[in-house]
Amino acid sequence: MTGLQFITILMGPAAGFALALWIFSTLLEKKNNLGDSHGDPHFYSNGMYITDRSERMYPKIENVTRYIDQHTPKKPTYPLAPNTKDKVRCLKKR
Amino acid sequence: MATLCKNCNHALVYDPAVRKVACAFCGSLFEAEEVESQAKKYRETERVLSKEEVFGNDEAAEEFLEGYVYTCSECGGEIVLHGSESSTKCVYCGNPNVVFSRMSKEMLPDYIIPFTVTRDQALSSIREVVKNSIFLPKEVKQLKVDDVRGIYLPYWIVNANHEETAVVQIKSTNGITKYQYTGRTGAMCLSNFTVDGCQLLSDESSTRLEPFDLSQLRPFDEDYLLGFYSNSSDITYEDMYLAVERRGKEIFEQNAINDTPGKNQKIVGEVHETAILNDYKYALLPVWFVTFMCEGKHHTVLVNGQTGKIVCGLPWDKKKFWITTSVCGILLFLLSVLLLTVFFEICGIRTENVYGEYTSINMTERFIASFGFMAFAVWGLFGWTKLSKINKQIKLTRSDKTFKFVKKRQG
Repeated sequence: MTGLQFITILMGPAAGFALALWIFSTLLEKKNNLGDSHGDPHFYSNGMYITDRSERMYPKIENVTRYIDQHTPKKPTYPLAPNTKDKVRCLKKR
Repeated sequence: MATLCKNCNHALVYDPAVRKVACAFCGSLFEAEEVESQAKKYRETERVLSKEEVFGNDEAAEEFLEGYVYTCSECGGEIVLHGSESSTKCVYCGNPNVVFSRMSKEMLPDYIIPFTVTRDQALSSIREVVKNSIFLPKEVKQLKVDDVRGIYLPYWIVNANHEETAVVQIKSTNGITKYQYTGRTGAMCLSNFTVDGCQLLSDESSTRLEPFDLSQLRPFDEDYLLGFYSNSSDITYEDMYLAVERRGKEIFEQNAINDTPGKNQKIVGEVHETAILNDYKYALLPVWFVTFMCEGKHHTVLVNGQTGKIVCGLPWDKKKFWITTSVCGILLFLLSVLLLTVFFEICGIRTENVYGEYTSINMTERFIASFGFMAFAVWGLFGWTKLSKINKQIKLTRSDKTFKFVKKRQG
């Protein structure tokens, strides 16, 4: 047996096995794995409103950090739900 | 605490099939809002007792007494509620009991979505799934259901604003690997976002039940709980924030990646601010929990009680899977050898072997030797990734936490 034949006999069935693994695991996922999804993001949001885009930033860590520092979101000033370790309670009492 | 039929004084239950409160004894049907009950009036002034008020400061008593004890208004039997439960069935007479005092003003839900999927519909849809599944162990094919419980889960419905700045790295390989960086700053509103209010049930399981059709929310009435179990919310504001923040970040970053050109993008830096508006609502949403045994382990299938969405990872027979994959792998190899040889023969593509002969089979050998390893690596990785995903879902289905959440109830 030549070296080429040996590699063929080794790699051929291995590739066949890997393809069969992919096919059967795809089938298994489709048939046996149900409900593996969260709600579609469109249920909860109308999309993102982009306020700034910066293309082709020079790839240095300082530029990345500077961009983040310059565009850090501000804390909102309107009334918010509390963020404490207390149990969540209904807003209005009936 | 059982709500009684005004015609025959038998206990009433909510029937999802007709979407009304029904009397199994005389067949009377009532709208949930029409049913009056003396017990409902109690909760106007009651409040939920704290653990210290029930057990005092007696640590020994707290250790031995796992739940709150009430009395069934039908038969006088003991009803034990654990944790944040607020409705259950009497283990002696089987009548449904809503413990109104555990739903005092401070924790009374604003809304409810009543069950629309019946117990039988939930079971038959699971059986349909089992019938269409592959590589199932024999034990699961027969599907001997251990228990079926309809439980109203507490959810908080929130509106939130999420602002974020993210830096996206784009990797391109044209011979040399290059990285590009782009920045995205933006904001988005999350509206009617549901947050699971139960600490005992894992977020991984409860988020998979989404989405619920919130246009079907009704003002809360205790009579929808009749015949079902329910829990009150026991999460903190911090838990709620973390849940909304996590999902907001996930949605934003996916949008940011979709907005950048190219492939192989990932987020390498970000800063965000999530704010939940002060108008959150509290609702009870319906879920069926169906448990069965397989290989000595408990499995719990969740079914959305409104939409019928099934959440589960069914177990698979590993021996059968690997044998089938191996046999098919060898057959695929032989088939590919045959097809490649025929192809090269038709195209007249031949190469020389060590004996000086020009044949198309030599070309097939070279082809497989050259690309076999790459094919093995790529297909194998794809297949293994899918199996990992399947095993993760099975782990959730087998979760002890979910099983105890379901089983630790009366009836």
